[in-house]
Amino acid sequence: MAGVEGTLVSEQREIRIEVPVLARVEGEGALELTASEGRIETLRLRIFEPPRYFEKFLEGREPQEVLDVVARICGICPVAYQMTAVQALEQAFGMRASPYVTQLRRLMYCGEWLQSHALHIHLLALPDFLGFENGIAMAGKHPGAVRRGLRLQRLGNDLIRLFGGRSVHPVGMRVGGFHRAPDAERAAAVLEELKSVLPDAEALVAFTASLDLPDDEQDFVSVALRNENEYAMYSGRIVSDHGLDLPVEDYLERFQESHVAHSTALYAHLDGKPYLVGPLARLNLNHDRLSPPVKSALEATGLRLPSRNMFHSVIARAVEIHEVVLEAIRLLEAYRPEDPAHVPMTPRAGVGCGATEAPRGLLWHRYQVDAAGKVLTAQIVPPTAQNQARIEDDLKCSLEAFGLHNDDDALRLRGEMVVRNYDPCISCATHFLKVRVERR
Amino acid sequence: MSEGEGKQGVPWRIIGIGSPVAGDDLGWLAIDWLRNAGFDRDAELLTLDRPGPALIDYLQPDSWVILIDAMDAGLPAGSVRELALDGINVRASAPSSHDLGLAEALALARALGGLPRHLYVVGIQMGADGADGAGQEWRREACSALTTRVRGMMQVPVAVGTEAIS
Repeated sequence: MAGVEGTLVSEQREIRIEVPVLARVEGEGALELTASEGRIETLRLRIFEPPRYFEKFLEGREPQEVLDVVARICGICPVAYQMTAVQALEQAFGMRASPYVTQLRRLMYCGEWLQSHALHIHLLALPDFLGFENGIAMAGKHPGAVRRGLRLQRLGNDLIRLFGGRSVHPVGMRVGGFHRAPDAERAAAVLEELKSVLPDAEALVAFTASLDLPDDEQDFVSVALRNENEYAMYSGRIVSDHGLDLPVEDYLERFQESHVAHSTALYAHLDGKPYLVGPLARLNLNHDRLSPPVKSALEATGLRLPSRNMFHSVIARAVEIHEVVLEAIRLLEAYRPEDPAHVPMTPRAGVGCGATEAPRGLLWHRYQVDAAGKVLTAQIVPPTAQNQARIEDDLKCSLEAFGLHNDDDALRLRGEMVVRNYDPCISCATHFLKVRVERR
Repeated sequence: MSEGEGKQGVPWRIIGIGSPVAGDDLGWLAIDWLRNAGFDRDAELLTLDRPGPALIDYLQPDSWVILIDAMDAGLPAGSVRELALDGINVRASAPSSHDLGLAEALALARALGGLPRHLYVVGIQMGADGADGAGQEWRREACSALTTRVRGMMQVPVAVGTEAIS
């Protein structure tokens, strides 16, 4: 990490650390903790990035504008925002996407998981576990790993581009389907590339499981979508490992958003308690839905599920990469272009909800629309906002288990590693990390 | 990927980087201008929409590459500057999931041993566009200056890491 500044006031037995920015995490924020007699008394994950007001921007917008606007919430997971919004709008309009469109959306979504997970594993997480400051420093010693990550990431972007016209802020989606289905020749070219990286994707599962990951068991609640027929990504019911099972539209009955003084992003709780969304939560809840080859690769690692160790998130991401490469191959082998690739939009007044699994976890949208389909009110609950309270709980447990006797640099590094397990996108949540430690 | 042949029989690749919209389109505009000026006879002209690390795919060690990107250097709108690679690498920060830009991609390519044999990076200072057509003039002047600069680069290749020419 660059730019560490520190002051030591030993006379008062107080140490303060200022780290200008948390490396390898998107956004700006700070971590403050106070410790006494080896125990953390207070810990706050301060998020001070200004609110971005996307929900307000959406009011008065037409349906297609909504898909263009929500894509701008995030440069890494625009597909997740578009998929969730389009589901909610279609529900409000009483429309149901065709099985053909649903399969194409799942295929496009595979691309987003692939590119996001590949980048996180190889450039953001691996340096922690291989002992490098960042991915650039790691590249000289482990060029093969970095090149593998770049190749997988590029292929994920290719898949998004195939359906979205471009990989950043794609423009191919519309209410009812897609503006057009891609040519069979272009789809076939991506299919061949996917087949060529399948061995890499499979090997990545064993590679991540072989890393020397910290042993840090904790108690937490996992929440994810669950689909009866597939590893949940595009659709499903919201479930937890503590008995929760509800349809997407009932989300607000059990989940509450609230403000806290130290964060400009809303916190979310399930029945008043923190919970986890994201790859490890999904794997804990849905590993029985993995395809047989992925199950075999996972079983070969010896990883016991459900896992209570957040550091297993890197393995979960690798498992999901293997899954989406296989799934994209399966879907592309069955792909045939249709024209048109959508059904006509039939706006009407109403309320619609949508939920999908963004790379970082459950993403939930709700729109109230008028008779022309224009948005009256919008509510968006992104994964990082849902994970904020869990990250704070995790940091308390992890840093105490790590030992507060460690020096400030070691504590800061461990704290950053813990946070990176969540791959938080504070831009989405609205943004993050200065670390300030006071010992009394 | 097709490659154009340079005047000395060298494969040149000129890449405009950025978003095609929202004021970050100067790399795209430059490629259009170069194509209209006939540079596609002597070079492969490409535009890449915010490629991030995928830029590395276009930076093979045996290639000859000119990268053109919009920059915010506090200069008058439309100013054209060749950027020193060493300076760019200094500014490269640890990449985050959402912020792996040109500097980080070049630093990563260098760490992987993949920088082209001859590589130039050209920045065009961004500026405001008015609703009444203001902004068109500085854009034209920038593209004209860029064309002269690129033509010179294609005639006199220099080694990677050269000092900036401004």
